[in-house]
Amino acid sequence: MAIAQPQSQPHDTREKSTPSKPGPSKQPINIRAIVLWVAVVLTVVFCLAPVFWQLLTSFKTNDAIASVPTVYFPSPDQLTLSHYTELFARRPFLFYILNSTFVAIVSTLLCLALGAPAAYALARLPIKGGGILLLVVLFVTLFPYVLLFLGLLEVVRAVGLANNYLALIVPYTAINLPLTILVMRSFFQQLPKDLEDSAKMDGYNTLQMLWYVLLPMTLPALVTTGILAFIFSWNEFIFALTFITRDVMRTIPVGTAQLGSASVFEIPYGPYAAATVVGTLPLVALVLIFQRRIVQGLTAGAVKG
Amino acid sequence: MAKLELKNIRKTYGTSTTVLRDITVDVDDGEFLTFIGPSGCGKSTTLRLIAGLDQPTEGDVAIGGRSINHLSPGDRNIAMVFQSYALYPHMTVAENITSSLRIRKTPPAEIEDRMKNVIAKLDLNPALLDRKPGQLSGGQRQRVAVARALVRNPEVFLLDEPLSNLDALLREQVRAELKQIFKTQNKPVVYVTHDQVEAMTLSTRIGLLYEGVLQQLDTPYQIYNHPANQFVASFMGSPQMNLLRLNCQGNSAVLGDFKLRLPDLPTAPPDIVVGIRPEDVRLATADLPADGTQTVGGTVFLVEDLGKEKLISVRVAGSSRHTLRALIPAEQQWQGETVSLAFPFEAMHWFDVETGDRLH
Repeated sequence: MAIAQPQSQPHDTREKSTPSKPGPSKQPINIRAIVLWVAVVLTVVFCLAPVFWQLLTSFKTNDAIASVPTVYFPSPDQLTLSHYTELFARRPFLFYILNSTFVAIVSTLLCLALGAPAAYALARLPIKGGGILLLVVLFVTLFPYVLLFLGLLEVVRAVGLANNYLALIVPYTAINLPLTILVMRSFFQQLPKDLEDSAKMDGYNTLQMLWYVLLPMTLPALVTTGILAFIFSWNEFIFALTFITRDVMRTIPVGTAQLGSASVFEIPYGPYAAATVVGTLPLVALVLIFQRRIVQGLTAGAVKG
Repeated sequence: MAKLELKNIRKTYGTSTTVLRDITVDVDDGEFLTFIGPSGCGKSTTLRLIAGLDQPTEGDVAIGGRSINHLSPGDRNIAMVFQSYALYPHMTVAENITSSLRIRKTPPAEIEDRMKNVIAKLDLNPALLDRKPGQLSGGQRQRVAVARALVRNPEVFLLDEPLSNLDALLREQVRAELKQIFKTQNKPVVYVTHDQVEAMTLSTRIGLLYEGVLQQLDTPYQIYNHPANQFVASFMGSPQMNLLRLNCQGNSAVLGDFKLRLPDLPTAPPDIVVGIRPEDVRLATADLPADGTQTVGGTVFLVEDLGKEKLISVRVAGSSRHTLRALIPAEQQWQGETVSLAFPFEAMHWFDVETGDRLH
């Protein structure tokens, strides 16, 4: 196809004989553009189709969900908001959201507050055995965290943390720490050392330097790792299922999974879909709000560049 | 009066690496001292020790007679311009310039005053003040970096290769400006560079460092015309000085078929090194005074045209391993391959073979 078109296209323009267009030289670019756009559309469809399907399902009536053939374009009377209202009326879904938000935010902040200074130390201070420490950190990220959960269950029971937010916050922070340290460390390393020296000469003490000079520059890295940590905490299932048994303390993934437990005879597709949408929206909002920060290369122009 | 003094500074890393050995230097108000040397000679380390970013292993750094060893960089009242400029990328130009004043809680009115003063002095466009460093050109960033140092009105200025990131044309222009600006400051200025033209043109004194040892500390004129040792002689000056190791016979040194008259030495050594700058060597012509002039003949084997001048390399007659390079006017011609070169007796620098020290 790519070969055939450049041959046929100049032919067409000559037949139409419109001299105003410089035609032939532009053709290959157009074909590349078309191929590019087809690829883009296919990729987007591939990625977003399940999302759109969930979105659609969450607004369809139960009849429309179950009907054969599948309803792709529901008529107005096949649309409903009842799945959403049910979610909040029959279930403490608002609590699920608040629980998830609280646990995710606290563990993310803890993770950054602990991870960033550790990363700075590993990047800048002459620590004996720093390389080994780093290897250990790397090793921990490779470890499948699910295997920890039986052991942690015993710990949680022994310490009496069951049905306590701390039972989630502490493990989430710990699991996210290694990645945070690794990412932040490489970020600190590529910050020009002159900037810190310059800040010292200007009279900043260590805390002021961190707050006024280093943190503003590390913001993109903080936000990126923070979002990763947040997403993990928001989506985590096994720990949340095991360590929390009180309904009002559950997080969204567990709450969603247990929507179906009310009835064995029916899979509540609609509420599932609605819960998924509600559970995903905060993440989407979060990424949209911070994407400028993630993309922005804040260090541009610090040194000669 | 704020004289900067380095007293017997030594700096070692670990047990094996010695970066600086026993450096002692005074820099007076209004003096522009340049440290120059090949990379790794310890010149930047010296600057960092003065700044307080590193601590000396031994010795004292003092300003106005008071030791400042125990003071942190921020408490030393020293401003530094970094090679990379080290501007804070997230702050505007104005914030960058005033950051040191703001952190010291200077009254806002005074900050405003001093900033206006500095940007006028540096001819910095006020429209740039709200930009971020990333939006500036290299030359503008360099100016902001200098402004940030000037605005503090410190007791000592340190500059770490501030011109090395500029292109050649701009560098020359900024060099001249820097000289004028720091002349008006009347403070000790310590400058580090590896560029000898910068060192020669800017400085009132030059300190030439090599392997952590101060080889010579003197005015640019003395450094150039009376190099203290062979290393200084070869490091300063471009094209490089001719350095030839010669045998001595009685009162003269043997260079191929020719004899160079030795200076008055207490004892005549068996071997000696002579240094002759290419610009001191001319083609021997009839009108040259025979008195006080040394002539050497040889074969031209390389001509490098520099536009303004020609650099010719000559293999000395009667010697297979000795060559002389001469810088001659571009329009000057010669017949055939053999030429006769001439240079005055005073143009010969004599060095000890073993120590490299100057002998007269």
